[in-house]
Amino acid sequence: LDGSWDVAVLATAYRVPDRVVTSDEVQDRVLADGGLRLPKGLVEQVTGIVERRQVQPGTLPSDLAAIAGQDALQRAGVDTTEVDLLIHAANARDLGEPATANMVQELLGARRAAVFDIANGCNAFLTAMSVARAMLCADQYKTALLVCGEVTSASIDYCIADSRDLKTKFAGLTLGDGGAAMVLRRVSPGACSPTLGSIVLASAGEHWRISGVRGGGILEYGDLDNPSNRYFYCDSSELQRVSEELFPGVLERGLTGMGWSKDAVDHVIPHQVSLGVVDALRSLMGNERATYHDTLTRFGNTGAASMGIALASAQHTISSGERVLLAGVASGWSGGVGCLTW
Amino acid sequence: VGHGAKPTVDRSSVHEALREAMAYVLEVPKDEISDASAMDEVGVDSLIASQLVVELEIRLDVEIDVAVFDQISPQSTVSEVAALLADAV
Repeated sequence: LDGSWDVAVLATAYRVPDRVVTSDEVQDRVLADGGLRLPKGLVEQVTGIVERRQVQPGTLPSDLAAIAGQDALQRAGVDTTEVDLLIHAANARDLGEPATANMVQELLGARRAAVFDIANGCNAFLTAMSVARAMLCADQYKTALLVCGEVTSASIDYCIADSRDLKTKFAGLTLGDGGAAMVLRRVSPGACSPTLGSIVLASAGEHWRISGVRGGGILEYGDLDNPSNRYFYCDSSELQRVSEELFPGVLERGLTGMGWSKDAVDHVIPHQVSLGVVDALRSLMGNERATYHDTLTRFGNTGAASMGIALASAQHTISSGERVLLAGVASGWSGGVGCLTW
Repeated sequence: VGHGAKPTVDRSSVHEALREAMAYVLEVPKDEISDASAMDEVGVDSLIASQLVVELEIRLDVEIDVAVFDQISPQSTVSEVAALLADAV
């Protein structure tokens, strides 16, 4: 932070589709598509996810992003013409090219904005917060709208052959669709709150094979007829192992950047993967006083939208002056920590 | 319980099926699965435990109450898990 400006969070918002899909219905789909009968209640028992939302066919990432963005602008009292920076940050996209942010720009009528996409797995939204803050503090832009439209349901591989196949496909069964948005503005120090503080991102590219979606890039060109390229895969055991090794250092750097101890944090917004992952973060924090916010049980893992959705969902429970920590690990491997002072 | 009438599965069958399932899912020889090994020692987490339960239901043709997950800890041994699963069948 250069000290010349604060970056205020004027509003956050989220939208999820109306269609509710329970974990039992997901298991029914696995049985129908691949013939594998999962033990009754397995997905809910292991992940804590009771249900998630899924879009109707034809709904695009830009649709979810624009609806959430419109809500956030309305809450902030900001007109679309005031937005001079618009970033779409998600795993999902409308097209290979151009950026989905262009479609969102058209939908919102944010004609003055410079727009682009950010991809960084499920840490894309946190990454966008960091990039936007830097651009706002550099005096280049004044008002940024960050949006995320995750249509993850298109990436779920329900066709699971056997127990071994479950290893990389189970994580897909946790996915849900949703959109999140945040309005940021450059303001004079102390002018308003909440404000963005330290955001630390770290990566370990040697672990990129652990999880992802193989399609959509040049690597796919030699294998275009393989339908599995479009589906999400994740070796969750390996991802957890790498995260246990690398994430504590990221958390430490994020907190140090704010001069916060773990005990000083009032609210924790984890990336919503599973209750086991949230419990692991709780153990790492060792702070039982903090509130750990959960949208997982209702919305599942909404990818890069999950922290934005959880923050927007929790905002009415956070009091002025409280310390909020966003924390997530993602494909890549990447780890991210964001600090907000409410 | 079971795909119809409750099947009769004795505890030793569950124990043996668990060792076979662990060998299959973890892709190691069965004789490397020690009864005294703890779940975290052999690399069984909640995902792999899920794979094991799927495999056991198929091998034993039973349904397992997944609430058994609440009783299994990273320190539970193979023998202990076999006993818990036998009770959950």
